[in-house]
Amino acid sequence: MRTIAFLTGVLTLAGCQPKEAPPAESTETAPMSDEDMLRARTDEFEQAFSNADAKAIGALFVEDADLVDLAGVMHHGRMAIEERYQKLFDGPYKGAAGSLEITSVRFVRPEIAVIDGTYELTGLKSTEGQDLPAVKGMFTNVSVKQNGQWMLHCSRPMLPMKAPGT
Amino acid sequence: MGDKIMKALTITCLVTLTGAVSSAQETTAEQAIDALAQKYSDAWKAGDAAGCASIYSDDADLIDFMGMSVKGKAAIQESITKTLGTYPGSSIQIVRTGIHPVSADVVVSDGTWEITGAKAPESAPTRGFYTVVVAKQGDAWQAVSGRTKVAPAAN
Repeated sequence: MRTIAFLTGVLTLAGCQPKEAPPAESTETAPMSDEDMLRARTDEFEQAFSNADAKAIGALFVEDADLVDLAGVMHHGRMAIEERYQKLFDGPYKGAAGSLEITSVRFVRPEIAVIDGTYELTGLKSTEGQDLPAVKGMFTNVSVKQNGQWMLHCSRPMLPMKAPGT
Repeated sequence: MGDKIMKALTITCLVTLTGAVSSAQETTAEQAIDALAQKYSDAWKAGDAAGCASIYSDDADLIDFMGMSVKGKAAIQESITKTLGTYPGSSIQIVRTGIHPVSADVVVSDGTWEITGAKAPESAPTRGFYTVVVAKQGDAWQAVSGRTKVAPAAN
């Protein structure tokens, strides 16, 4: 009995698996590239926006992040950014959906990226409840990689004088 | 007497050199950004697009308030040449309103710009905001990304 166990051990170590044993399947997946990770973070932002979840949006930012809104007003810190989005979701963005598309990712440093893209807000309504046309704008974000995760550091949305794609 | 003078001169030179190195080392991102803004506005006033573009790194990118994107210093210079053509004989005032360090050698700076003295078309905006990502390249700070925008009310 001991001999059989010993031989099995040697065969296994030598890579000689019994024929009937199925080959071991690797559970490892290829690691995501930094650009893929940044795109996935953008998808998370989009999802949080569609859920009107200001807290989930805030969680995508570093504690010391800042946002300069369309009017040029600075919102400094994760809490302030969260509050800003909550006000928007309770007010002008109520019921709206947002979609984001990244147009460029540029690594200024291996762990610092400048991301540009466009956004579209649909489902907006006037204060009288009338449907409003979609708003198309652009954004520039600066993200940093911290502990293996890409986090938003600076967010700069803008409404160009000429809407993107027109 | 001669030796004393030489010694004093040597000490003065050493002190001066030490001071110069020390002050170069102490140039903060804030000072560097202000110097870049000054250089840009001086070049603008002189109608010098190459001077304006010189604050950017060779691989920088710029998106203007129209949403037009250009990449590389040469393309940025070309874009600034066109912009200067819209605002001939003008000056630009750049006021930094915020600075956000992302790392020891990368900062994001925000501010306002205002163009004065221009005989520009009424549709051409004369004030707005900017965001610039500035990074230390070797010993020098350079703009690596520039974004300008106007407030929606001005659209």
